[in-house]
Amino acid sequence: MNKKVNLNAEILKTIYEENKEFLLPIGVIFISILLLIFFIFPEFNGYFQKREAVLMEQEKLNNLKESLSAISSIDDSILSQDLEIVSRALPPNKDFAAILNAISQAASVTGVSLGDFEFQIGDITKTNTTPASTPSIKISLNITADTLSTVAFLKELEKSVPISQVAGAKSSGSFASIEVVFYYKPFPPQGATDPEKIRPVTAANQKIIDDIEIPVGLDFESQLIPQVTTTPL
Amino acid sequence: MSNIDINLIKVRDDSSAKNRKLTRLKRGALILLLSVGVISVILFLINLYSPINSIKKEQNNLLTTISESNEKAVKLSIVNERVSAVTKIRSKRPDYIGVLDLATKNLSEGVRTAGLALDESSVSITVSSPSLLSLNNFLNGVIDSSRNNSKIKSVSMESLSASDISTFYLMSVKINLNESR
Repeated sequence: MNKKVNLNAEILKTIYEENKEFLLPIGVIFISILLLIFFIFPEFNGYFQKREAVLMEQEKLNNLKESLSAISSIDDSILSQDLEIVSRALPPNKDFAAILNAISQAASVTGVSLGDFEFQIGDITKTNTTPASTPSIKISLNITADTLSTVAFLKELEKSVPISQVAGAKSSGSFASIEVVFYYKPFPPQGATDPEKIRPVTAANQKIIDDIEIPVGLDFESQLIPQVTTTPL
Repeated sequence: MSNIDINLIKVRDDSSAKNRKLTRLKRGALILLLSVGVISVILFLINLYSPINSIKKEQNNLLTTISESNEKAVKLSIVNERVSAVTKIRSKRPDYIGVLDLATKNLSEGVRTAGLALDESSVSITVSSPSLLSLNNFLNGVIDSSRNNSKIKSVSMESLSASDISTFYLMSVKINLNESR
């Protein structure tokens, strides 16, 4: 059956007249659905994102509170003293004077005679950045000592500052050649301090600082008192 | 019986069905509109009273206070950073001294150290003695002490020789170290 339907203006008008009461509620439903899709759902999504952001900001705030509490709780003179000790243990630059002091101090304590020594300075053109690993200077030295005195010398050297590590040693008879690595660590660049990550010196860390033996009577203050940055965080 | 017409076919009341439909539709539209409105108001209020702004304000206040003690903050940060670097270096440093102590404490009378060699992974110690028994005791002492030492991987005797010109025996013992953390 091929029925032809003529939708002329008359018919459309009749349909409109018969159903015009439905138009308003249908329009309202349509607009409500549009509002749901284009406003409520994105707002819901945004609400969850905002909740996450609030949690993150709250954590940031708590970190800042901890930082402030760490800063307020520590005595400035103790902090300066700790900074000086750790800066002697790990100098900010290649501190040859401190290295020579450590070697001569170890030699005088253990009674060994120092012979020739040689520094392996490395690339002097490199800029003072903070690499991931701790940079170091290797020094080769010869001493006149028997094996037991050499052991005592190595022990003393390991206790001294700047912090060092014996890289190798060979002792035979009354002569020994030793390779020692002395560590240093440049200060972080200006503004690198994250205000959220400032924490107090823990008891364990304080013990490490207290255990660092600073040679008495050695005067190399001018080189080692660290100059800290004072730019705003 | 009277002659009354009784219509047995139910008359479709189109207008009342339409009215019911319209009422339902209107009610649905109203509920939907009200729901959208209520949800919108709730979301608006939640956003209005979101604590993020007050948190940020408090953060800024704290940052200002921390900035006032900037020097102290930088010092504290450097101290902690350096202490952790020192700890890291110490933990990675091979314990030569401990191993040398272990070897030297086993030196009995008549046994003398004649040489020493250290490298990244081992400590070699050469001892001399006129008595083979003393050297044997030294070796056993080193082995016994090494058994309970977690830093030592293995102990091996590298050489044992007798000097032609003297009456001394020379023995070289190599102590291999475990890799540091």
